[in-house]
Amino acid sequence: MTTEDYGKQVAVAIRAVQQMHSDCSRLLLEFDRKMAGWTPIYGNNATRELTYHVRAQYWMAEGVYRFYSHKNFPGVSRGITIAFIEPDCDEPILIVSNITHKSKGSDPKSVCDEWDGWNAFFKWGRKRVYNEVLSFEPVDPQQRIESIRLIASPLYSIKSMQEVEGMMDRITE
Amino acid sequence: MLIAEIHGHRIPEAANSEDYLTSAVFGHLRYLSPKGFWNELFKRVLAMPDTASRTLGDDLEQRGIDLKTYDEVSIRFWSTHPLHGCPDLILVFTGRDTHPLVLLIEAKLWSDKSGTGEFDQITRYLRLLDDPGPVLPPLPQNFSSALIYLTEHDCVPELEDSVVAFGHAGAARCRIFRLQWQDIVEAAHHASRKAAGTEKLILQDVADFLRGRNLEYFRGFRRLDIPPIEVRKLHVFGRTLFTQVPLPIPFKPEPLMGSEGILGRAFLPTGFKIEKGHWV
Repeated sequence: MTTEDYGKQVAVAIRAVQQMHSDCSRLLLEFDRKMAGWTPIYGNNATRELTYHVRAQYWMAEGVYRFYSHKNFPGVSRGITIAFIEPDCDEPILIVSNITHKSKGSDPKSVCDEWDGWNAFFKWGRKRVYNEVLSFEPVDPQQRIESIRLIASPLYSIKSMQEVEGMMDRITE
Repeated sequence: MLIAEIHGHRIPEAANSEDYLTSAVFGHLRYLSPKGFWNELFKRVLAMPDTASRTLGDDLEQRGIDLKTYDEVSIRFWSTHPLHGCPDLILVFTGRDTHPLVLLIEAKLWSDKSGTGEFDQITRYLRLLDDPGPVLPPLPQNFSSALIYLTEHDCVPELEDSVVAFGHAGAARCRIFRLQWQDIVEAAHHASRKAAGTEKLILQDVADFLRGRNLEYFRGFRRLDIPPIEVRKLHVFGRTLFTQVPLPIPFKPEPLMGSEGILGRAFLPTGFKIEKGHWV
């Protein structure tokens, strides 16, 4: 394989990643309608912990999220997490979660963490299966969380917004 | 700007400017007739929750307003009112035997409305519609009106604040509508099927432009035509990115061009087919 061929394949792969980010952005924004009455906890921010430093392993978001709170449900955060890069996984994963925090503080940012959905599925749960409602009381290091209900699915198995909305319905019904 | 962007010539400084976006989109839509596209669009302009109408289209119908009776639509950019400010757009539909229809549009891109309480932007523009005399350029007499808040996000919470700030909550709720840029893509797409000639071209250009800015609704994940790769746990994002990448069996890690290689490289499976020319 020539240098040129390899470079072109890398370019296609990067374009595929760009496309995925673009689609995820639309998915997260459109989910606002499903969550009518709920407020995005982190505003228009969808990721964090990106490095600008020249010394880096990579300059890509590991995942994105959009969580919501509701004044009538203190201590509860609902949202979507999309994990692009997780060493244990072969493909990007979409996680829809409903998290009840021990603290019912009025400021959701003080009781939630951006990566709660990620950690719930990849670290705190005993089972890691797709398309099944997982409900558990996690042992999170900071002991912030009372209970979690979540459902996860390979990102590229998602065909429509209705599927994502259905996932939220399944964990909140 | 619209055509340049469709062809990939983007100005990064303009990417998040709602003024550029507004002028690019509505600067083209103003050449359309009052029927067709606007009818499709108003079906997608949503009323506030808990109102009698579901959409602006329904609301106009209930008020006995039919777009077919209008001969002309003019779009006015950044009209001014000495007290109530400078809305982004005012659409004026006029016809011989019907009262004019005035639609005030405030457009946003990645930002919320400005002002709170009595300075709430939406509230001020409702007052502008109630006191249209000083608006420049002048508005017609005896018009029906509505206010549309155009955003890329769901904006009900913002508008609920405006309804409260206006004071006459019931009345205000029925006059305020919401629209997303993504709805313009949908409306343009549907209207372009029935349109012909220049109108069709305008609608396709507007839809392509907004799609290029990712301002369309989610329709599943798009897939590029990636050459098949037999991947077995590449762990490329693990700690050993450039030193110990366990590649699939057909892969043979090897620096290219001997010691001159800078990045770690791998020979990919022979299933790849690279051809000269444009990449899709």
